[in-house]
Amino acid sequence: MRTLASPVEGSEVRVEPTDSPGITINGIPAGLASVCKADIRVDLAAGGRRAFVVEHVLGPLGLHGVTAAAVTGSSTEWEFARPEHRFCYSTDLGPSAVVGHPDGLPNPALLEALGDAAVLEEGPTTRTTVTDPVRCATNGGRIRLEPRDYGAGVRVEATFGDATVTAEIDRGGDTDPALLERIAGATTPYLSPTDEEAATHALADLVSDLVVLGGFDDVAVTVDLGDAYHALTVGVARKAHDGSLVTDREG
Amino acid sequence: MNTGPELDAVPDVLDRAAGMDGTDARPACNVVVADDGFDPGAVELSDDGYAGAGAGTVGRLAAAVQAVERTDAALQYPDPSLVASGPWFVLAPLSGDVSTVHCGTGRVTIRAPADPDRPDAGIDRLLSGLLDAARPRHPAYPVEDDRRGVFTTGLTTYSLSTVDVEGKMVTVTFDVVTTPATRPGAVRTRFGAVDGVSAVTYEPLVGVERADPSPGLRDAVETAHRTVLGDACYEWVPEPTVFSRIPGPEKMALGTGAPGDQSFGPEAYARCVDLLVESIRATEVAP
Repeated sequence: MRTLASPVEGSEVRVEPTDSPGITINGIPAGLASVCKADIRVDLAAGGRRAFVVEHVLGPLGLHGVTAAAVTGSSTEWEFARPEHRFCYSTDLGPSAVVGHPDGLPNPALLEALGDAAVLEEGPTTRTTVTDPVRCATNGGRIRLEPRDYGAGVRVEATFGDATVTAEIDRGGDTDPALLERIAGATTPYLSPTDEEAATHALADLVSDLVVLGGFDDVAVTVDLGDAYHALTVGVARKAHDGSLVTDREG
Repeated sequence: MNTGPELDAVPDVLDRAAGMDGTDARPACNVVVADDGFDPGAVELSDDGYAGAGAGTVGRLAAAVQAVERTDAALQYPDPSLVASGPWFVLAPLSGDVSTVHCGTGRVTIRAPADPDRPDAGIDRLLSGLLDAARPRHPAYPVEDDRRGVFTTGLTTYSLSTVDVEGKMVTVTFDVVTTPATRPGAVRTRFGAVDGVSAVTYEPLVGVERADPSPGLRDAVETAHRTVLGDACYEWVPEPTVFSRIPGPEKMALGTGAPGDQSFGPEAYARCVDLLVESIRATEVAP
């Protein structure tokens, strides 16, 4: 379990350390069972609460290897150009239910704050992978997960349009700082000027959906991203879990 | 070849709709179609569905007829009795979304002195400045190319209405679509900064309507949308409709088709029927 030594803040959110494993957003557990929407964005819902665009928070936490945290939305201002804010206004939720970055970025302020924060590590080092290759295809995209050795981390090869990017994500929080900097400045595909930037942004989304929500620590990911690709990434994680193709290993 | 449901001819839809207001019974709920004064004569039925200006309104009315025939609901058409009891379902062009919020309207009037020597050039320059001021703007989102309203549905927007030259004054009016964030002072400032403008007045016409339906009605409609479409998303309707005039909080809008659509096919019809039937039935069993 890896948590923060002290709270940090990013755009739209405050992140606090916790004593028990797992990440919550506005009190909702960040896991596949809580995912109520996975297409152009990922929303979580439980107990009458809902958190919108969670990938912009879970991506930075996953990239820095944080596995235990309580995230709270901090936005108090309405921005009705955002569809998620209109949703919240329509259903009597406040703007703090939206934790996604207003400019479609993977929360660069949070990425920086997490990079500067001290992280406490304790407990067993159980790591999760798939037992066999898992494939999924939807919305014009396709994805494949393959097992990796214990401690190998997450390797991603992601294609969006004409661009392909590769990355090694270390679950111990030791991912290449230059890669994190590129990800921090990459806008969501709907707003991206280039395929390269969209694919780079997608790396954070893949970490959100596969590493944090899906729980995979050691896995090789090959993905050709289509439209509304969270259906693909959350879909393959669900397929692996539902098909009992997931295994935990001790170091 | 179309293999969807068979659609009724437009006159048949109107005839059937007119006799379903439930005056002889006590319906569980009411259905009304947001019709924005459409002309039924402009809509034709073809193999691909309804076509022409107002096609979506006719299609949603046809869906309402079908849904009301299969449920214990009343269809308030053509003159809705807005004081009828029970929850209300308003069919609107929501592309499968749910709505509890309808935008409002206003009018902004701008006055500027005419140039007596070069009146045409002066008006052109004034209009150019005003139209530039009226353009939607946002620091992060591509609002100028936002034809689907992904972002602009939440912005105060302006459309040129009239230009009058009388004596030494030019008067220009814009129709305004308002949101909960619209502020009269901001509207005045937006146009008051244009070169040559001497006065700006803003007049609110219809307020933003935000309903607060009971949890039971909300759950019923959301469940219906998840059953039929797999998701229940909320969106605003970018103009006032009959929804805004229905008193009380127990009302929700739903429906298929997009604003201004010139066609409404069998698939949109079938989904609209399913969404409405499921919503009504879920409401009937809700505690």
